Parts: sequence; C-alpha cells; structure tokens
Amino acid sequence: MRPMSPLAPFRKWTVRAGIVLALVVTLPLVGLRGVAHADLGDEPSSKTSSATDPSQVSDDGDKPKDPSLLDKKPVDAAAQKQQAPVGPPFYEKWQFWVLAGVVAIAAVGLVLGGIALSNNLGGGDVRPCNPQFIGCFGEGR
Amino acid sequence: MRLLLPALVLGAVALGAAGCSEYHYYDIRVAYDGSMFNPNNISQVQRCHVFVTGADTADFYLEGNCTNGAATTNVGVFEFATFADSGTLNFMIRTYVGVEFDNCLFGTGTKAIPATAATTTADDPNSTADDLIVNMPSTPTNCI
Repeated sequence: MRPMSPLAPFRKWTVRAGIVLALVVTLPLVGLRGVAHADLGDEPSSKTSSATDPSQVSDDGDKPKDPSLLDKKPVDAAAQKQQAPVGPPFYEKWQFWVLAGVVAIAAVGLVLGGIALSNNLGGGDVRPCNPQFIGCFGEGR
Repeated sequence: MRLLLPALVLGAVALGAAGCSEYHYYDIRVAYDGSMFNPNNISQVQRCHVFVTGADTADFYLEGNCTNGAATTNVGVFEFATFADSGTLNFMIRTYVGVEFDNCLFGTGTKAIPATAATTTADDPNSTADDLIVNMPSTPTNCI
C-alpha cells in the first residue's frame, strides 16, 4: 500500500483558493457595474417648461426697468459654477472599467502565477511511475 | 514606488528561503540471494518493508509480497524519489513470513547509495552486484 502524497491536497487547496480569490476580486466589480446602470430616480423633466409657449407667459410687472439689475453679478456666477455638476460618476467612465478589467486580470494572473511558482519551487510534478516497476515511493508519491 | 523596492527585496528573500527543489530518482532492483533462499521459502513471504535513512527518511511496503508473483529470486525494481542531492541514502529491506514481528522475520538486506545531483540513478540491469539483496536469512519461529 503506497502512502498518500502530501502534496496533492495542498495543490487542490491552492487551486481552490485561487478560484475563490479571483471570484472575490471579480464579483464586486461586476456588482458595481450593475449599480452604475441602475435607475436611481427620475431625471427632472424638461418637457413642462419646453412645452410652455413663451409668448403665453404674461409680462412680469415686478421686472426691474434698469437693465444693469438684470445682469448676473460675478459672485452669483462663481456660486453657480461651484454648484454645477463636475461630470458623470467615475464608474460610468469607460476608463474606469478598462482599469478595473486590467486589475482583475492582473489579480487572476498573479494568483495563477503564484500557484505555478509555488509548484516549481516545490520541485514541480513528480514523474509518473514506470508501470514495469513494482512500486514508486518517496517524495511526492 | 517607495514600496516597490522593499517588495522586491522581500520577494527575493522569500524565493531564497523557499529554495529550488529538484526531484532525484533512484531505481532500486530487489533480489534474494539465490544461495540462501529458494523459490519454495520465498513463496512464504507475506510482508516486505523497506526503510530509507540517511539523506532522506521514508518507509514503505513493496506490493506483491516481494515474491513478484513467481517466487523467483529476482523481485523487481522500485523507484524512490527524493529532493536529496548529497549524503548517503541507506536502504534496508525486511521480509516477513507472517505479521511484522521479529519472530516472523525471514530475511534482511541493505544497500547504501550516494545521493547525487543526477536526475536518475539506476542499478546496472546486467549486474546483481548493486542490487538491494535480501542476503541475511532469519529463522521464523512460532510465527502465525
């Protein structure tokens, strides 16, 4: 009766760990993408204002006659600039997903490479037993 | 970038600590000394235990009860794999006609091989001089 190889369970464990780690890295990214496309609420509708005919709006009696009062002041312009949206969220940019993909692929590559490197440092795979032998024993067997 | 250099150093240290192991294989031919054992009593062997000491340590049982199914003096070849590439590998074989008790010991043999960097070290197929030979007979007594 040959003794069980102590390396076999370790290799199975490392392969499973690699798969789990790859899933742990990949799944949050996939989930984040779903959030990016989720409908989080109605956009403010512009139909109401656009549907209104400007000619039907009655003249505002409170409108100041002095044109200088109607000009935007510099302070108001700065405040408006600050309140203006800076752009779409980072996760809606294609660069983010390219970077995330590269990171995910690199992580999977690192895990698989680490397993392969660990295997090589451990001596690699033991060669198969010659069927003409009465048995093969020792390291890795 | 400040972390890159320490990471590389740590990686190199880890690689150095792990070492680069390489398998070495020793193909050992097992036989009985025909002048001490005949096919009739070889066929009584029921257990065949091999011990390895020295550069590596292991013990295992040869299948087929060391009779090769034909009770001939030539048992066959087994292969021993090790990472050892220096020192001496000492092989000892003990055969029993019953359970593995001293009173059932049938024969013993030893062989020493220098462990080398060679991938495969095999016995000369044309000579029995370097075989692992069971050449120390014992007389089993009250063995069930």
